[in-house]
Amino acid sequence: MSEVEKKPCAIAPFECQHDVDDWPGSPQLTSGHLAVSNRSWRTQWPQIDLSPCNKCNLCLLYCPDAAIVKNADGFPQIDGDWCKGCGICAVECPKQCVRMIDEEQRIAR
Amino acid sequence: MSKKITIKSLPDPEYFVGHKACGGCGGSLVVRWVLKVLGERCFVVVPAGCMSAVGFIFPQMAFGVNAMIAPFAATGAVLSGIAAAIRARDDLKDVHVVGFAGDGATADIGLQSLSGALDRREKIIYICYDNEAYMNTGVQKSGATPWGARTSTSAAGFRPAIGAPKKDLLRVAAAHGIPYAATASVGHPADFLKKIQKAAAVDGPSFLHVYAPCPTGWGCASDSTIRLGKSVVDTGLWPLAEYDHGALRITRSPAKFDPLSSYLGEQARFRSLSEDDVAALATIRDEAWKALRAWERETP
Amino acid sequence: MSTLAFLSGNEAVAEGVRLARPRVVAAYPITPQTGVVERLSEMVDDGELAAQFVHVESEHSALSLVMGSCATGVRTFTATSSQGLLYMAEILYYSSGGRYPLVMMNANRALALPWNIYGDHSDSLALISSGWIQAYAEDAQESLDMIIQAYAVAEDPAVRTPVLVNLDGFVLTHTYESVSVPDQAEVDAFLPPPDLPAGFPGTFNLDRPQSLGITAGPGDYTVFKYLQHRDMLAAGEVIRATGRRFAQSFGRGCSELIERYRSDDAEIIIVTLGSVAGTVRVVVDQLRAAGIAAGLLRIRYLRPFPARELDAALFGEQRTARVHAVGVLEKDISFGHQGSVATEVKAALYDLAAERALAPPRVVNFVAGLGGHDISREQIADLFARLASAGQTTADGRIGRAGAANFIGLEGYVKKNHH
Repeated sequence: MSEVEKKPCAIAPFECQHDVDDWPGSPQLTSGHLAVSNRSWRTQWPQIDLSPCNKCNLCLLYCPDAAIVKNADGFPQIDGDWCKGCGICAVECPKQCVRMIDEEQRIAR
Repeated sequence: MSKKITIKSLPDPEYFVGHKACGGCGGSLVVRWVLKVLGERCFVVVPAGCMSAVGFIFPQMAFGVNAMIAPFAATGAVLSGIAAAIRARDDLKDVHVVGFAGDGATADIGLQSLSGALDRREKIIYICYDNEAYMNTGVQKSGATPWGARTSTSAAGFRPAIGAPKKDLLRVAAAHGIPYAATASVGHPADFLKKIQKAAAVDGPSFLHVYAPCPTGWGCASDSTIRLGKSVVDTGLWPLAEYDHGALRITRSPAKFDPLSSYLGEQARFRSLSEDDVAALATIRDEAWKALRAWERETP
Repeated sequence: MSTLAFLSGNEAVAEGVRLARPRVVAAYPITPQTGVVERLSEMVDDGELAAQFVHVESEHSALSLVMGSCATGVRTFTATSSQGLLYMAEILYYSSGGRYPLVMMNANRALALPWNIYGDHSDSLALISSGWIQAYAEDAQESLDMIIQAYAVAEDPAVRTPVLVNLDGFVLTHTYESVSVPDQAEVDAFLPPPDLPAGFPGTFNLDRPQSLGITAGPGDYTVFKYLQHRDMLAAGEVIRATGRRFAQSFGRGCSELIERYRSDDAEIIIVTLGSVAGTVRVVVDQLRAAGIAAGLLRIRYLRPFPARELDAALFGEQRTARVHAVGVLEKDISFGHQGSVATEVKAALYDLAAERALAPPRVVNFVAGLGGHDISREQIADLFARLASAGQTTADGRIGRAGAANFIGLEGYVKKNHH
């Protein structure tokens, strides 16, 4: 399993009430307030085979979406909420650990 | 930030997550790396453009630090206002004031306010992520669009009568005599991380001009971002250099350039270039390098 | 103890700003605003004002810069005029939408083309919908007093709306008057501290980082705009309360958005704003001495629009006579229609008259003082005469008339060109 597992509430729903009096006092929100996952964006999924991985973490470095995190053992894991399937990790991995696979088929499996 | 940060020791915390940039976006990678290096005590200014459009869509806030959208033309001015307030207060002296502006916001509409901020020696870090056109509005030609590139307002390729390199923002910044200015590329993270730290350490303004591919606008694969970031350096089209307290230093000097076709070939925006055009581009590049090397020799 | 000083309007503004202790001042020079920022830069150099004075490259940058400072939690000041105000127009909307409690002085000046550096209200009236509270001072004393009160109003948590304090170019900015300058301690007691409290909306917060100046889709955008409008309307009461508090502390000043002068029994009334009100007041006294029931309403705040006070002034129970006609005397023209202030007054009267089931009085628009053109007592007396004849034009029926806007001051020119 190379996808980060999260509790269902990992992405906070927008906590603002519908009453306009509960709205922010200016057009602002607390930084890092995440309401909508990018999960539906991708058509490809980076399938990681960790056996050749030497934990160089270049995949993590080059990810424009910060969608790759280190697990407890220092191996890369994909955060499915943010991965857009761009494929940079697959191209840049010096050990060819990452293979882009069809996202629809992956979900169907 | 006393210890040197390298690729290996890049801190784990992320401060740009959940943004709505296109897959493979180079600009968002620039923001992500810079904030990982600078850490949480940052006041960030982002003018109208891609990074503001993808980072602040209510109610999704992708920046993990204090951040603010500035008017398109006013990045330098808003940064200056923050810097002035920090000078006026006692409790914020260690906060980095950092701007992330696109090439249009820097080389075109925001050039005046950038110049003012540099001239006043504001303690700011100004980062131009250059994707070589107005991407947020649909890939229109900017002051940083390279000769021959197709944009949605230069369908046949942007071809001023006399071939010239794009606006040289490194020289523009250096002409202000600021302590530190540099170019960088997403294809060379080690070089870029060093330059971020130098920029953050100087007392006064610093300017980084960073090559940041836009697969959507350039017509290339979303996984080509890093590859292009290396290729643009290897072909000599994007010199890596720094202007450090008056001295120009080329930080990566290719012994010989890769053929331009290896860079231009995988981008649809350069499809209209003829062999003669490519040869002309090579001449422009060689002239630019001659001037750059002369500049390096001239300075102490 | 306050001290009495002989100050120009610009210097009075500078004194007011000094007493409000802004931490950042940014400005770009433009005639006739320069006196304010020159004086402020001196004060900073002399240590009278502990502020960062930032020399910017444009008005656009000046207002953008103080917005950045404000987001960093400090009180600021900037000033401009005319072309400069329009050059920063984008930032007026931006900063009010961001709910930044900024204070700016505008030296009212004509707009090019043709170039003209003298006073009229075309500049600030062009930006009446920009979300800024708009105040118009009549004299140097009121300029100083309005600046101090502007900070109290703008930073009131219920308002959080920027304030533009307008002074007529030259006539007010450059005219010297005797001005009572309050003590620093008195102003310190009147105003909140110059650093905005931690967690103030629209400011950075290191304990809980904030994303400011964000993007919002159509529905969310509408909510933010509704709140902006709601709070601008609420500012009216805060302006009055601040004015009353100011009067208690300093013993002077009008606390209403419209100042009434001999209007409660007046049958003919001129509504105007800014320094020309002083001349109108003199003419009212002359006409009163001759037994003519003339009056003046001076609009001190054009935003929020003082509809309630206009209603009270024209239809209130204190009135002892019915208003026969109202003339709106203003230094601007909205080309192809009429003056902006007349349009505002007429629109408000339409609603107010409908609510009261009354026929509104005749309202005549007089456009005068463009490009600093002098407005004489004789001209104002003539306007009152025209109001007395229910708004008929002068004998030749044509001079100075163009649609609903009656141009004042064309007399000599029209005769020369057409006869």
